[in-house]
Amino acid sequence: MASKLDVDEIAAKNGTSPVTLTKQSPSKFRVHHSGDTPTTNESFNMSSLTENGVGDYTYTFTNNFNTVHFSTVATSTEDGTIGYVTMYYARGYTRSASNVRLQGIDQGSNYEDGAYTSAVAHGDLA
Amino acid sequence: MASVLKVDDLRGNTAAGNITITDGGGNVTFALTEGLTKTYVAYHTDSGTAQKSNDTLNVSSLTDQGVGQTDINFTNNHSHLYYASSDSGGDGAAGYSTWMSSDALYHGTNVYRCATGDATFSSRDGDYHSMQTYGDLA
Repeated sequence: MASKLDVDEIAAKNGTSPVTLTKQSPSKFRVHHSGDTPTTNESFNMSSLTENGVGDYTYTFTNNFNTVHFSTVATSTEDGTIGYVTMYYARGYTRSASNVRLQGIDQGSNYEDGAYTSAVAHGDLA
Repeated sequence: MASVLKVDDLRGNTAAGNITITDGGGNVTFALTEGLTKTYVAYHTDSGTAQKSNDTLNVSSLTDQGVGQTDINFTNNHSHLYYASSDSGGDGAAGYSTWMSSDALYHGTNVYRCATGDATFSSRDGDYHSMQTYGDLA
């Protein structure tokens, strides 16, 4: 018989420590935003989005990671005129637990804002 | 002694979709559902378009939309259009890149179109792509 547990909060046996999710590791940050003068459409654990220049974004977290070596993935769009935009860690970015800086580059090797960009990060928070 | 809870269905009591958990660092709590991946699939497009295995989540089907263009159709839709996503592909020789379609016709709550191209920025099929989505389902 299937069992169901209705609960608002799960913690380890001591009541405060993190509970182990078997073979699961939730993402800890995500954002979906538009390009030129970026507008955040949806986000989780992000306090601000800063455009440093064309296709150059700094995402600052509400709650920091516990290491600078957290994992980040990102993707962007093509829009039929600029070719596709590939996202990568920004040149000169100094890794930080409180933010991640990404840049987009188009098929002409120019920094570019995709029509839409999304980014996700995994790892433990501080 | 460590305790293990074995249960088949876990849901919030106050709100069904809201269960708070503590992060690994022990100082931050957040809603479990916010962090969970809602869709994932690994697939190929070079010999027809098909999943690489049955290890997928929330994918009802894949639709070949032409060279380097694949629609990932969801079993359960996202609650809004602007969900976060990630995807990747490549074989080292072709110099792959991937991107999502910005056209609302191809990026919906029920479908995500992945596009792949090569080093000359032409659309191209390949033998290994993967994608994931995040955010609330409808």
